[in-house]
Amino acid sequence: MLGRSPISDRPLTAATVPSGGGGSGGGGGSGGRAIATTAVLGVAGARLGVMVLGTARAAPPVATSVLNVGQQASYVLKHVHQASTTGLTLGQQASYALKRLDQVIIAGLTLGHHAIAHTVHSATATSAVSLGLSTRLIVTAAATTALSLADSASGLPSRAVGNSLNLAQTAHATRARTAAACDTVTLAESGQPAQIGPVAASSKSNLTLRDAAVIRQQSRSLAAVDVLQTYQPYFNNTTQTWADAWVGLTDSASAVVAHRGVSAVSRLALGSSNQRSVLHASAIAAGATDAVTLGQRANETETPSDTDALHLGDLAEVTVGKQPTRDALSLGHRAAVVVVRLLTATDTITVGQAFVYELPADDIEWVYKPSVGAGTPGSPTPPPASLAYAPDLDLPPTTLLFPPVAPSDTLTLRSPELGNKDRLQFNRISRETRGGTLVVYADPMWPKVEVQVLSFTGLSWDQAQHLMNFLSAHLGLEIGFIDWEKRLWKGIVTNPTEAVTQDGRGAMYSASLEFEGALA
Amino acid sequence: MFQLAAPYPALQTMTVLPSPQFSNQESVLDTVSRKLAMDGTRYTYVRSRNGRKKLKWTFLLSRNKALELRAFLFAYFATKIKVTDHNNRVWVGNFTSNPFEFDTPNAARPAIAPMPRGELQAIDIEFEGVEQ
Repeated sequence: MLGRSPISDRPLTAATVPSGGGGSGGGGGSGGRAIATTAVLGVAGARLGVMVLGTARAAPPVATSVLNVGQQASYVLKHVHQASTTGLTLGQQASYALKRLDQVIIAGLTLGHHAIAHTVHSATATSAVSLGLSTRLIVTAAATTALSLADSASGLPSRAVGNSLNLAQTAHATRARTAAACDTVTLAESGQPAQIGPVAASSKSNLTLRDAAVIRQQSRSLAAVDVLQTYQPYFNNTTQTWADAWVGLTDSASAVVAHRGVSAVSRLALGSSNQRSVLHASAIAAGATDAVTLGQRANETETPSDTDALHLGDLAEVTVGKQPTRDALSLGHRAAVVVVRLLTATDTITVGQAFVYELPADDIEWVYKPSVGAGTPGSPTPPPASLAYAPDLDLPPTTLLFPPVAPSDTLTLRSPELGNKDRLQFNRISRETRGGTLVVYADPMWPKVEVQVLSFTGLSWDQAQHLMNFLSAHLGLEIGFIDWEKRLWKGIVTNPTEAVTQDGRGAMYSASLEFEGALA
Repeated sequence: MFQLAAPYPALQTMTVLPSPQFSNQESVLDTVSRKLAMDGTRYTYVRSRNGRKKLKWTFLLSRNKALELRAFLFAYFATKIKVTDHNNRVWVGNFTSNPFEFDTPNAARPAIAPMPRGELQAIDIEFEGVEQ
């Protein structure tokens, strides 16, 4: 147990203790208002020594408490205590300073605490530090506390509250046959402003943790364990079931009263050197971003909420050792978004085959015998394999009908003269590439126009007049035309101004028609 | 014998025609532009058509074969076709005639029953393609 200076409400008397002296020193009161207390604590060779120096002066009204715990006085007190275990409990001096409410209070604690065992067989060096320090300011501008575990700073009301927590703790075991170094660090830090005013406020909590377990010398059994999180079961009272939970390092930031410009950001930086432990993704309470990257170095990434990237590298490596090396990596990583869009990418490859043939025949150049095989899907519709022959009639007359079906006006003419034309007009686009290749395209839906050019001779006067009357009466209307092969066409006449010519006496009238239509 | 096959390259339909009439034509489509500089130097600019040539054939067909060619044109008027001409030269290209005009200059004799009227039809076909 630490030797304590005789601090009390009454003025103290300075008590000087020689640096080489042993035992604890105490100070007496002398009527001064200031109190200066210095405590020097040293630990060396598992021996404890304490030197306390207390001074008191009349002015100024400043209370200063300085504790230096180190190695300086270790040889002084080596005759007083011989212990391999040291426990420190600090905080009494800070509580004393709190009594001076009208003064500026500074409480600074610097702790170096080591438990060292040198050249000891089967020895365990354990260093446990428990500190409690608080600084409370009432109706002042700022309150600042700089210490380690169980550290808090609060102001009611205050302009700003800062809380910084720094911890360095090391346990070393050197030159021992069986060395065990255990370094357990548990941190809890929070920055939470309460009663935020109507201005934009922010709550920022930065947590930086470095935890390493190092074995520098080769031993028969090497073991280095660095655990950032532990996996523990717990009983859920709501569901009455056992569940598993990860406990250990957590980082969170929350904005309770959200005003304009308030954001909550949670950043977690991890650096784990000897082994990569398990980090459960769900342990990170990130509001809009959940991105964890673990590897040789730790990165935190802020990405939009619809992106969730997790890269992990896990490696267990022992250079020289007899124990088996195990590397277990367990991950639970989830990314949730409100709107889920199902995007489908389809890539269809169509493989087709075509087949064409030719049947040699003597009359193949004269009769209707197209060779139609199998084609690929999407190819143009081939011509019919056979032709529906019309009945062989002897010079059947041609007939003009209106309307084409159930006609009320009919004009019968002789068959047209030879030299009639069948024009096929197609709509298509022809383009030439830069290299000179001709590209022709036509949509099947584009119209195809077929025009019959017919000339009639040997018409009588009545037929000629009837023809002109027929064209005048039904100009622009769809008429029917039964050709000399008894095929019914439906269409219009496009040359009504073509003259009827009298070539000679009697039935010597001639006329011509251009009929644009299609087979019915 | 003259063969038309389409669509190229997945050939499905083949039509056999008689050899075309004389006066068939074959021409190069490449063009040359001549420019003359102030000093009299002549510059020529040639635009090639990647070996494409223009061919014209006139066929005299029976009515039956004309109907077959008509159906072929309806199906493949805008499709790349393969032509094996009367000299067994193979061409791949497109029809360029528009319109296709089937003329009926003469009557064929004798008419073959049960064919339609035994007419003889003539058609001029323009074709642009590359010889294979």
